[in-house]
Amino acid sequence: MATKKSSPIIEFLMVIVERGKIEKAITILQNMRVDAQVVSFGKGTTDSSIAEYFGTDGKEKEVLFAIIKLRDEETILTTLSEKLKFEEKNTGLALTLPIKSATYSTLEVLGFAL
Amino acid sequence: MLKEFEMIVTIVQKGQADKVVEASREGGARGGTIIYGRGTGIHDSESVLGVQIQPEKEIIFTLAETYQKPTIMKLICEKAKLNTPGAGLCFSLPVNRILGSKKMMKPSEIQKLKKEKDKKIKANNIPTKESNKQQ
Repeated sequence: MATKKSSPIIEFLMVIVERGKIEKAITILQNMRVDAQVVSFGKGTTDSSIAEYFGTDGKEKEVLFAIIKLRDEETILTTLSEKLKFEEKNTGLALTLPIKSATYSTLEVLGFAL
Repeated sequence: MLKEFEMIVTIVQKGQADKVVEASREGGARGGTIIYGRGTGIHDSESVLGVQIQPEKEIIFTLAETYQKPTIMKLICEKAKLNTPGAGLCFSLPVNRILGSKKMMKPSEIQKLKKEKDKKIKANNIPTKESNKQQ
């Protein structure tokens, strides 16, 4: 498999919200031209006292995985925070993880391919 | 408050997630998120009377502060018996930014705050854990 080593220009985004609320996040990301998305059903394990810390509660969850451009990180996270109200308690969680390298097709989807 | 996070990812056989969550809590984490998956590893393919059984997996995402990570991972390995071949695996990823849990911060911002904190400690002669140990 051909891989293209690169300086970090892309990131892995994870959004965890209550089941049924992921559509909002999908729409936000689609509007920002983030097409590389996967959604999976999940289960939260936090109890109510813990929920405050994680920003979620112990119900069923939806987890969204996406690959985003590093330069869009700030805008994406700010928009997600505003629209999904992550600043409020028990609303959800979004985080970004670094990606060291990616396949050519991944970069192509994101518009980075040469 | 200044915090650095790591994402611990644990992949185990179906039904083992509770052990992982229990271990993470023991190690100081506040819980986690479980999603379901299918394994394709060399230890995963089993067949009964020629019928292939699809091995179901549980993937647990545990968010923890960096200092808690070694303890949590050690406890997960012990409780879920990850030293046994085919039992599962556990790894951690650094978190760049986080929303929904206090503030989101860049690693550079964290470094900057750490330096400022160190300067304050030196300037005010505040005893640290290391200096207490030396004494």
